[in-house]
Amino acid sequence: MSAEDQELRQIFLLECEELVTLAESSVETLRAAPTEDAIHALFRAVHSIKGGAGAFGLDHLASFAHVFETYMDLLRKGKSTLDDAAVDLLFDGVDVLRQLSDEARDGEKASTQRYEAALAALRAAAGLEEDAAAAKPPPADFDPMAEFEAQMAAAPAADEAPRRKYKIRFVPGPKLLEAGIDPLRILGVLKTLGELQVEIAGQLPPLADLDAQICAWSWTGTLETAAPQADLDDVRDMIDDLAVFEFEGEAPPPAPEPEKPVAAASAAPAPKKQAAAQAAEPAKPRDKPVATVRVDVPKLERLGNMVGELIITQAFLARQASGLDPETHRPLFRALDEMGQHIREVADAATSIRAQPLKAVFSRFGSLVRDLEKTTGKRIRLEIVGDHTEIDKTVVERLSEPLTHLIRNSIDHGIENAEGRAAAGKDPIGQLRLSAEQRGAQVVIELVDDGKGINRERVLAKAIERELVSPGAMLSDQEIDELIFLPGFSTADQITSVSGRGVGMDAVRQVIEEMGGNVALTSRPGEGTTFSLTLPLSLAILDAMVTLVGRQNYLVPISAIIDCLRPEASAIVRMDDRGAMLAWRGQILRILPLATEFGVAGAESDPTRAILILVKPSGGETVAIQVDDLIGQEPVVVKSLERNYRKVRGVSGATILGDGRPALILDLSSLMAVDGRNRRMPRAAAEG
Amino acid sequence: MGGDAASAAIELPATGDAITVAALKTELLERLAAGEGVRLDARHVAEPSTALIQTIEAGAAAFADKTLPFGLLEPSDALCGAYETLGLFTALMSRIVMEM
Repeated sequence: MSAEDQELRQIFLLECEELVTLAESSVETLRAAPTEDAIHALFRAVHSIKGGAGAFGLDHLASFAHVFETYMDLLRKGKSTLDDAAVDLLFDGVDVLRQLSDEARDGEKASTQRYEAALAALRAAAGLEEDAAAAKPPPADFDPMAEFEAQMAAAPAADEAPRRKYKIRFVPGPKLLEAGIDPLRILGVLKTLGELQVEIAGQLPPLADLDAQICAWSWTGTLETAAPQADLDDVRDMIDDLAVFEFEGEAPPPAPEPEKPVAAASAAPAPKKQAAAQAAEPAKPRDKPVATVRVDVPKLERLGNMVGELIITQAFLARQASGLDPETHRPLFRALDEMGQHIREVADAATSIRAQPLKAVFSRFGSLVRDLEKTTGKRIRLEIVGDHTEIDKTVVERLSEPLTHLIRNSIDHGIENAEGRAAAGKDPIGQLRLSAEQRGAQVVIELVDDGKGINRERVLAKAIERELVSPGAMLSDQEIDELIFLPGFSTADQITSVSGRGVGMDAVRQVIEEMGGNVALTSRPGEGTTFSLTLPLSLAILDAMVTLVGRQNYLVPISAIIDCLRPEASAIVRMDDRGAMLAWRGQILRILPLATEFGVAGAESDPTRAILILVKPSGGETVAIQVDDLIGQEPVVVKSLERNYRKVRGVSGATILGDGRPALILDLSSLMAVDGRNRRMPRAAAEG
Repeated sequence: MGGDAASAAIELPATGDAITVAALKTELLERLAAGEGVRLDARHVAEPSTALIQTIEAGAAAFADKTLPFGLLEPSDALCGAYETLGLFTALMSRIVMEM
């Protein structure tokens, strides 16, 4: 295969991934409420997969998609019933399409058991013979048109049906001929459906410039046919996105009124009127696809880096200008303001280019839940909300594993079996809700189950048994719940095939924190558990408060800040075991002096002479972070500390400030999780 | 394809695939450059294509521009049907020449 073919194959496989996601979401729609649009969308997705797979010699994928498409065609034409069993079959089919597509991409052969079972079931449902040619991979010179022509020719004639006139418009796109679809054959198929009258339009280029593989003509005309509209849909689906094929049915002439006795003249022929009105409805135009372009990720990363450099330069210029008189340098300040705005817009645009809807990852969980239902014998209803929410592509890619673990965990340990639910007076079907929404510069993903909640007694006993907590420890409910995030913690007495395989909740938290996010948990005994994952929209740019501690700068994410204050002496409460605490609006808050946390010398130790920044990471407790001073708010470019130095608990990354000095960005969740432990940073690393 | 001499008719291919269509274009351009008219022997066209008919029609226009003769000899039923299907029946009628 040439390099160009390889590249095209890769592009197809990426498209295939999107098509499978689209197919799965169509089946989800069909399960909830069958619509014609969803059936057509699923058919088109499977059809496109078949065409592409055939062109790239992906025989198994092409032949499976072919059988799937045959079954879809029956559903589409109402020749097969879309009941629960059919929906399950469609889900299985989509799962196998994904498996085959993944295999083609990764070059790894997965188990054929599922493939064979789904193929046999689809074949049976489609009424295909066991040894039919459909089971075999299509030949290398697979001609999709020939198959289509045969299919259309084999369609039963509808002579008794009323003829209907359609206006048609057919505009081949530049790739149509290349895809092996000849307009002549498309028009030929239309001729087989009825009486076709077309006019040709379009100017041929001079002979020397003629590219015979690009059709320069287009056609408009009429087709009078007794064939069902589904046949025209078939033609449109065959062409797919390679050409415009539009058709609109004209209202048929009213049927002649039967001669009636005068006495019956008042009886209105309502059904006929309805039929005429129905026939007059134009075929629904397909949604026009948004023009897109594929870009290599390294190019996006370069764009992001350059935007980062712009932000740093802009901050530098702002700092330099801050010493000038604004009155005498008004044009300069105005220009700086405008530049700042433009850079922010460019940064937002760069962020949005990298953003992907969470659907890409959420759509996989339908299949996971169905598998888990089979494994555990529990019945689960998965509700997905807000999967259109967009987030950085890197986050989307990394979310799959932690979310899979959380879902497994909820189903295995959280949601009760049918007997348990009945005993608790609950619906026998367990509820699992996966939602996402954007809140400011963050995206919050929640997984809510209506299971039995965390068994705190058991969690605490396990933690004591494993010497993670001393036997006499007095822990709040929240603190006990949080124990499940400790490394290696598991309450599963037996390792099941579903969870409890050593990949603990600590791994979930670690992955989320590595992306600059945090995980919070709330649980109510007997009612269920909620996991909240808060993630930054962009991993590259952060609005931060620049603080000073000793001679070093630390940055606090603005999104987590509730308040900043210099406390009165009366607001400071001394506690023997916990040191200085802050009394604030009826609460007693922990004070975390950053100088102590990071071993910074020369910093202010008295909280009444320092500044306290009150922060509350999503779902976490409110804590007062003690710094010497606030420098100001600044958008900063997040650089990986881990890549350039090593992972440091309490720090999510580093940046370069406008004055050229390096600064550390606080990871509030991990900072608060390990209270009291001294995280000394080597000075060389902190100073760049 | 191929004629016996430059002035001989060009035999159109039985199948209008990409390779034969490209060869036809080259041959037409050569005739055009040589300032010679052309007749296309269309008797054996069994599987015409849009690409083939586009090339014939672009050739017809190019030869007309140079006022050089251009014609189709005995177009097969398949080619006639294809012209008709594409909405080019009138154009076909104006291309057909009779061998004397």
